Amino acid sequence: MRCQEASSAMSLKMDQRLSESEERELTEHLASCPACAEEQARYIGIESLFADARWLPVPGGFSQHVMRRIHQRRTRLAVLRGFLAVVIFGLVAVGTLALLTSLLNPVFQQLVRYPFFAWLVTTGEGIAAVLRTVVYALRLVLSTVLNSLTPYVVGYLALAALLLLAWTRTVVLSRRSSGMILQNNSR
Amino acid sequence: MSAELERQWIESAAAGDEEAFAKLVEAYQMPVYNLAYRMLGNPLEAEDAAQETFIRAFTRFNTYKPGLKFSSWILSIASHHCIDRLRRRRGVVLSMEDIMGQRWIPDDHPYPEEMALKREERALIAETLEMLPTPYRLVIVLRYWHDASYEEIAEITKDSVSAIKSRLHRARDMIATHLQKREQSAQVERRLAENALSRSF
Repeated sequence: MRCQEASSAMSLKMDQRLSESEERELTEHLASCPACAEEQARYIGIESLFADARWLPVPGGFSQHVMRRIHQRRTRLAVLRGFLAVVIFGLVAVGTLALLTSLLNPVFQQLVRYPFFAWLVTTGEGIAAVLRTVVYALRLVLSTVLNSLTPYVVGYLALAALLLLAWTRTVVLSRRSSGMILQNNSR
Repeated sequence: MSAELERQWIESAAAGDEEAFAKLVEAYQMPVYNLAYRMLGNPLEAEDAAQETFIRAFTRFNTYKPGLKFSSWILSIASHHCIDRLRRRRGVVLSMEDIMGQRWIPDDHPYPEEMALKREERALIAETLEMLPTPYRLVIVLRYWHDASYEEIAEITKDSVSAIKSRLHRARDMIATHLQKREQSAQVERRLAENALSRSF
């Protein structure tokens, strides 16, 4: 056995992975090679260093904390999924309605002759008129705001938003970190 | 915990049963937390990493193959998560929380001399692990703290058994060299201190 093989065999010996014949070869080599014997002593030193390798106790409330985080994450995911479902459903509904309206337009023209459908159309037009008024009012407000936006006002608003963001992050982060330290010290 | 009971918990947890998963967390929190602690060397970060490991396990239960040992699967998630954290940590300055976290080292021995000795041993172990590059540290932790066989380590790290054999050998080599250098510098320091003492008289 050469020194390089002996070194590898020593590691295997630590894990009880040497066959009897290999172990015999290693012993013979160690008896005739002081450098390898010294290395073997160092390997034994490693074993004794890690012999006392103990597990630390898990911090209190560990599993409850994990389950709380899982629950929170699942809830967040469910809300996100619900929101996405509503958006997708809304888009599909609007698309379908638009398609049906154009396809069924000749049928509507016939139906309007009957009093009930005529009433429906009138009511629909009434609702549409209300919505149009609301949209018009919103546009008016928005255009007034946009017209008043000078570079100074925009700069001021951006600065205020940045300061607000910085303040929120500082408060949230400091609360979070102080919470963690308190949690840590209470153990 | 019987194997049958564990199988039932795994099946229920895979179907989204939080209560069954909580039982698995209770059963495996010790090995996962201790792996994270030895890999990261910081109790606060280890706690967070261990919690994240279980959350990942719950959300990716579809990747669990029934034939695999649950312990190997969960330790594999923990190992990869710790490696990711260590990779991200490079170049990051320790925060106040990390430093405060270091103070929390459980001590269950009331005798001062033994406590001091234990503390020294613990410091040496921590220093030795910290000196090892991540893949070598992982095999040493799995071998000595989790008593894992070559095959189990290979399953956890997703490497071949022969790669694990040579990595363990290389890791032991690194540790032996480190301990030797440490011993040599301690001897030099002792000699210098003795010389200084003899000169003062």
